[in-house]
Amino acid sequence: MSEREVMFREAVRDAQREEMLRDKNVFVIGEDVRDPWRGTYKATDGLSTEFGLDRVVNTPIAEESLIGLSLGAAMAGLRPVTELMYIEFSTRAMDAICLQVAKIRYMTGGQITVPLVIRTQGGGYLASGAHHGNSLEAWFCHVPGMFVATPATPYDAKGLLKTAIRMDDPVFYIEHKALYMTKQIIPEDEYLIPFGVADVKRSGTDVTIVANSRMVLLALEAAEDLQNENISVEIVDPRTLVPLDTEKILESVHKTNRLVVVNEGVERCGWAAEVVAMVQKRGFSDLDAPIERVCTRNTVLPFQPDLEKFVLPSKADIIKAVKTTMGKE
Amino acid sequence: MNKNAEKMLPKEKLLEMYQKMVRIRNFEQAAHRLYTSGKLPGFMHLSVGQEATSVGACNALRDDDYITTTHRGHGDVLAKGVSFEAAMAELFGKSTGICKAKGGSMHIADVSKNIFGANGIVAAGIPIALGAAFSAHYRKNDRVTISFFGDGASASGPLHESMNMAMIWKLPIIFVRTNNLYAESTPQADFQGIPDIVQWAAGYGMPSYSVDGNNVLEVYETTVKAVAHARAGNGPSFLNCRTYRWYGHNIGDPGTDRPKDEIEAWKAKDPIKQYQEYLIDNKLASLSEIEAIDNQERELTEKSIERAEKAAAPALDSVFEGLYVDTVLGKKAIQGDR
Amino acid sequence: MLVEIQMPRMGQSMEEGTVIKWLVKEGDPIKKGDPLAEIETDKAVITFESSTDGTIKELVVNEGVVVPVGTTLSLIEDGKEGATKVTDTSTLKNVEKKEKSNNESVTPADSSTFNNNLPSKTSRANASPLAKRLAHEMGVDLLKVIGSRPGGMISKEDVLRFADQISKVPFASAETETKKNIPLTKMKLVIAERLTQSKQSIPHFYVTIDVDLESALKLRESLKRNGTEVTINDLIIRGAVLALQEFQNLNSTFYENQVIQHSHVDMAIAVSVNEGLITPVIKGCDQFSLVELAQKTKAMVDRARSGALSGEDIDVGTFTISNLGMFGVKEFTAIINPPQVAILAIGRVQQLPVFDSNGNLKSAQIVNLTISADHRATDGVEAAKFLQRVKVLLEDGFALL
Repeated sequence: MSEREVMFREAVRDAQREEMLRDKNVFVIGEDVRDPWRGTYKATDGLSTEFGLDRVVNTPIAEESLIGLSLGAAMAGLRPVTELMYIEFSTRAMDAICLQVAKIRYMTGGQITVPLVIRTQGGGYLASGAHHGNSLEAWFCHVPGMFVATPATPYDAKGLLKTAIRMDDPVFYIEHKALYMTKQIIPEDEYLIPFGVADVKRSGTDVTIVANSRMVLLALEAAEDLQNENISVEIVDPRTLVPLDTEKILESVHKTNRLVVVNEGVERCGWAAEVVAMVQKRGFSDLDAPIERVCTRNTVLPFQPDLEKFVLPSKADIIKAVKTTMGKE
Repeated sequence: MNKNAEKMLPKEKLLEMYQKMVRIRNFEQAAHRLYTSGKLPGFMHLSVGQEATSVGACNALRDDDYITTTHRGHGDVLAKGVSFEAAMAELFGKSTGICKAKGGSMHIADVSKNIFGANGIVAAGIPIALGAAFSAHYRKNDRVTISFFGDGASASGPLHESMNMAMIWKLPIIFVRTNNLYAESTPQADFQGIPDIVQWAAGYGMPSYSVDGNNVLEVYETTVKAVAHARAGNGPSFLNCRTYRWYGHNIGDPGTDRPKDEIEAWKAKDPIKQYQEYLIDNKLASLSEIEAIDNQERELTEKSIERAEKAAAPALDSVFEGLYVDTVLGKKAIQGDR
Repeated sequence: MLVEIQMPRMGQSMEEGTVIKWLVKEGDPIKKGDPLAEIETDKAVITFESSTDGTIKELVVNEGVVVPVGTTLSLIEDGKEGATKVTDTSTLKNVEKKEKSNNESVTPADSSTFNNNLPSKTSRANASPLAKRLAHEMGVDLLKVIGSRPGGMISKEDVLRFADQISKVPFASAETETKKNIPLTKMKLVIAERLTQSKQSIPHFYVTIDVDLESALKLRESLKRNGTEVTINDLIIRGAVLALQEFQNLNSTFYENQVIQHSHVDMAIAVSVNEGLITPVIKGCDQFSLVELAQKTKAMVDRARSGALSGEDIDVGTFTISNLGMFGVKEFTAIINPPQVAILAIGRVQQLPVFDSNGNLKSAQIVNLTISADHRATDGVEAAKFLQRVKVLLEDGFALL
């Protein structure tokens, strides 16, 4: 089987391209998605050149209507892949996303189908400041009616996006700006990754780390350091937050008896709390120590790089949390 | 009244419009009666008095054209063809409701009739209509979309975003403003920067019309023009239909925000009565034909209400149905502690 | 202002204790030095005194609950002005100061240091959910398990370790037909663990010697005539103290292949009380005369017997003396108390016929002394020489003063 090395953003582009080739109803719409600009993070590179301006559409800066239009088009049977440039700009379209896209199928008694993918990106570590560096997945996990995916690797990104485009349900698909240039060798042949299936990115026996998006990479780095101290860490990447592969997480905690949840969202009422609550309830008697969360501190994200790094989760934070669950801290 | 009407339309069509208006009036007044006697839960926003705008506009459309409308959308959806009984059952919250009791009065939709729904959020339906129009543009067919909205939406972001975008791509959309002079309790002068909104719409570059919203034929004619413009690929139009709602914003609205004499003056310009008189005066229909329609509609109303009221309430675990198409993943996503 | 009374550290190795009995009620007035509670440490039950005047505001910890040293036991309102402490009495103060959450170090205004790991106010064991499940499955009583995690929380490891130890006792199974199951008290549990460890890890050997008490008894009589009471035990203890200064290996601690000789003799004296065997200590015996030593010993034993030992009395000790003579025991071998390396067992005074230096029979008062010693720190010859020294001192008599 042949393989090649791709960057995360190329994997995202390739997924869109392959699906556009496969189905004429798939089109891309968003702000600045056409060539030569090709998207703010270059995730739509080459698409308008290949498929034409009819299928790759630039819109004015009008997020509410952009999402509403995408919804109307999806309802009429097209399959838009809509780019929301920064996850923060969802605030301009909260009605369209949370009240319309997520709810319209249900409110019409299931008459309406919304085969829409909203692609966006979030995350910090690049000193982008408080309007451009947040991780807001918790907001969208909190709205029933959508699925939410946060891929951590190029392999996952491509497989999940292809699945999302083929789904008849709306998907909120969140990339991470600091992951776009990460590389991985992936298969040339087509593959799809199902939603609701977690991936064990590292096997271990002492502590389970549940991490998503860029935090998976940070957890892997921490795990290397911890291995040198003879602490064996298992890393479970849920890949999709809704639906969540609760079974895999519980299985891991049953094995290790300790859990650390790492998420770049703000700690208070963040996604990590959902995992903690779920495991606390369904895996209670497997826990040998209180569950630790490693999240962004409960403050506004500062611009200055060192301040930003201090607010966001660090490898040291993860190591400390792991050791705390082992009673070594 | 338009003297060319008899040339434009065959008799059945003229009578059909009358029938539809009567149907809407019956529906709304029944809803009022049932709601105030405690039989209908939730909110109720009635459009009595606005029938001509709904019917005149929708009758200019084909079955495969799309509409979206507002929280005050009973008239528009009935005009586009939703079943009286299914709509009434939805108000009752029955399992036979058009939205299986999931949406209620403000969210009535019927995809089979290309009704992309009433909407509880002001102006939210406008971009959705834009999307439907976009799909016609994308597929290169000649289907058009009407976006019904009210005074309240005129000042909202999504309307302006949509009007701009519609012009960029010349989308086949018709913006129909049901201008009943009030946004909830706020009169026009307090929410609109300039007195004549048509100027303002024209500023976006599209044809804009000021229409007597209580004259069903005038609404019809103007809409036909706008539809032709859109089908020809020439893009959007804007219709400002001046009309009036007889009841308050919602049932429960004490009605103290509007002057009594204003209400009475508009009631005197009842669109149905006006049309009825026009038809009879111009010998386009006989009184007995009118009465026959009235009786037919009265019977439909009674039967529909009776059946709707008797229908079964939805089962409790239907709360998990109709959420996701993928029921396997949906089950996982719905799972929780309770 | 409110004064927090915390679980005291009554000894070098004490990490936790239990309030056996509160001697005051909420609302009672109290003076400095008044007894507050009876506290069980790992070695003894002591009477804990108040360090301040005032009124008892709250008794924070319940009787029978094991808490770490430093835990707030009660609050006393002393009626003085002063910085009012955070008096939210529904929270227990965090003992481990370094256990702060991330937020604490960034937001100094956050005053609460409530630590969920501290034991609750009920008498349920502080154990992780997994530990509780395991304990339930294995039939282990969590109240007996010592927790090794922060706040004294019991983990799976602690339960397994405990179960392992218990399993080595042949009659621990619930299947056995025992007439009466007597669970060990905390103190006995600690003793059991300590002495098990001692017997298993220290290479004990034993040397016995007889001592003719004729001279010693004469000395005793002489002191009595002068109004001073000393017991035979006191005399033997004095002999041992003197001899230990010569044979310092027996007054030491063996640690990491080193014999660490102590500079003083802290004599632990085994005393039997209702709860079991305790060994209060007289520190620095080498400085006291026979009479002083006798007085201190008497006072201490009295305190021990009446359950009124103070913090001073509870310590590790460098040598132990144990006497079972009062039960008619002729001789016996004792188990060394770590971190000591020797223990001297005293039997009863026997009236025996002996041959004097002329070969004539005479009646003598003979007592048997047996030393148990750690063969890593000393050897048979040294132990024998030590005993010989004690014998010589006792048979000399006035050398003991």
